[in-house]
Amino acid sequence: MKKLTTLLAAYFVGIGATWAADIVVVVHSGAQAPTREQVADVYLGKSRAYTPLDQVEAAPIRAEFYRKATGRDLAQVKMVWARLVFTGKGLPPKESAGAAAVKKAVAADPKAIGYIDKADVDTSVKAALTLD
Amino acid sequence: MKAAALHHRFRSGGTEPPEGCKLVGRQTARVAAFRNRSVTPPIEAPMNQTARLTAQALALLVAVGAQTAVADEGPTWKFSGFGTVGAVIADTDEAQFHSSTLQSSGAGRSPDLGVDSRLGLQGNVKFNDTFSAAGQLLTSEREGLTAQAEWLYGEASIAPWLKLRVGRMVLPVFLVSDSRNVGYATHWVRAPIEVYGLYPASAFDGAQAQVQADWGDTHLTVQASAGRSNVDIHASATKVDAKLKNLYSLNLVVERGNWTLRLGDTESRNTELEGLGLPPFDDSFRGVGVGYDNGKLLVQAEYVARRTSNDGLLDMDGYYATVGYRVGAWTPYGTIGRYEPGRSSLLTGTDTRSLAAGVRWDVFRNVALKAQVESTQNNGLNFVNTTPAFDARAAKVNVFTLLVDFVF
Repeated sequence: MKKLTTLLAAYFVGIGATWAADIVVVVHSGAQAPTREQVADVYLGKSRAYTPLDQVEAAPIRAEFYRKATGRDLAQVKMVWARLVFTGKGLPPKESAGAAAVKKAVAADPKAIGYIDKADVDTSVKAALTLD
Repeated sequence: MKAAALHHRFRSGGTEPPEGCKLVGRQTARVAAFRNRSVTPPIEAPMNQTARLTAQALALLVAVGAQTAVADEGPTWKFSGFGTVGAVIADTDEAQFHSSTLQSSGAGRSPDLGVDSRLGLQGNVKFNDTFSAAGQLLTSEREGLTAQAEWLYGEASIAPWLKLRVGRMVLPVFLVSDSRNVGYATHWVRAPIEVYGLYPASAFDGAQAQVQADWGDTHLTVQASAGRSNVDIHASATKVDAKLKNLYSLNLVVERGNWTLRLGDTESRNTELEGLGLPPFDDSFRGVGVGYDNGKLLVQAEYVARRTSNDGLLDMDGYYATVGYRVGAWTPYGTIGRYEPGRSSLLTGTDTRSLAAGVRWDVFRNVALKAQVESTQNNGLNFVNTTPAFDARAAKVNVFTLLVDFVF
């Protein structure tokens, strides 16, 4: 019975983690932590201070990240990048599939910036900013 | 038997050149591909000479880039595209409404697909951290259905803050001049012609330096351009061949948070307008624009002014303001535009205004559906193939537009 309760609790915490957990912006361990404004500018193509990494389009964390960091939904972000791409100003962030891939890419590049679920943060990267 | 085997080995060795030769071969093929592109019709006839030079410069850049790139990973390519399919109706028999003076025909009482429909294909190639190139072919209704290179340039990133470009580029005359063809990137069906119709050329051939600087969260971009452009202007009942041989442009954009501010000056020395019977003159086109977008509320306004050296014979001012508000996938918007020819202007028409209301619906990601109703007045530039009676009374016309914008 106790075992079942623990299992259920873990299940619900798990569900909670997918939908309501904090998103953490991560950078290289030697890099300076960005402000929220900088994160928004980098992901909307206004600043080149960091090289942004996206999660795949279907990942729920992507929509949640843009909503929290920029106040825009994915269609609006697409609109912003369409303008930049077709005017030769830049290409949209590269996609990484999952937190492990993001951490690996960020750990390898001092200029990289990514976002992952708070539960996935480890010592390979610097947790720079929590979006809640 | 032995001899045959040897011969075979020799022959197969002969068809497979050593590694180094293969790379040279590939490069030559690439250069040839670019050369071939320069002689195919897509590039407009008046620009052919410059376009060929541009293509050759690009081919050289490609060759240099390819050589440098072989050392590391090799070039990375990216292809993308955008387009619009739309129909326009204008409630007049005496004239045709068009979205640009580059168009020789437009919409009347029966639905016209040419006013806004277009397809853009773009290729970006990055050779290494320094060299890249981009090309964009735009197919749209101009003098008939034409395909022309809007962008075709080689770029060198000299430093993180400095880029140099050579080739064909969009002339930065307005706040959103460089993305006005990408309907998906804007809330409206088209940029207001009271402002965006006042500059005849959209692209130029030449060179551009781009400087970027950041002060905290304020981002500054300065573009300095020099080059030339030849275009045909179709307005009212006339056609004018404009030769902008000495173009200089300075464009300054400041971005901070949700705000964008733009200041620009485009100068054309010894401008020739064939068909108007004017001696060459200096043309000065200045503009200021401001935009705000917080994700829900979108506000944008621009003012442009043309001053010409020939006693202001072609002076004109234009401005517009637009407001949109996003509610989920829907963005209703309204736009007012105004055009004022100078007091001593040669141009027909008086002060005119337009009023537009529309809605953008983001059907799904990559696709937007838009509808707009507009009341506009003939200002000598927004209508073509006009009758004398239409021109004589600054006629008011209602214009209806329904279109789909997409990117891929």
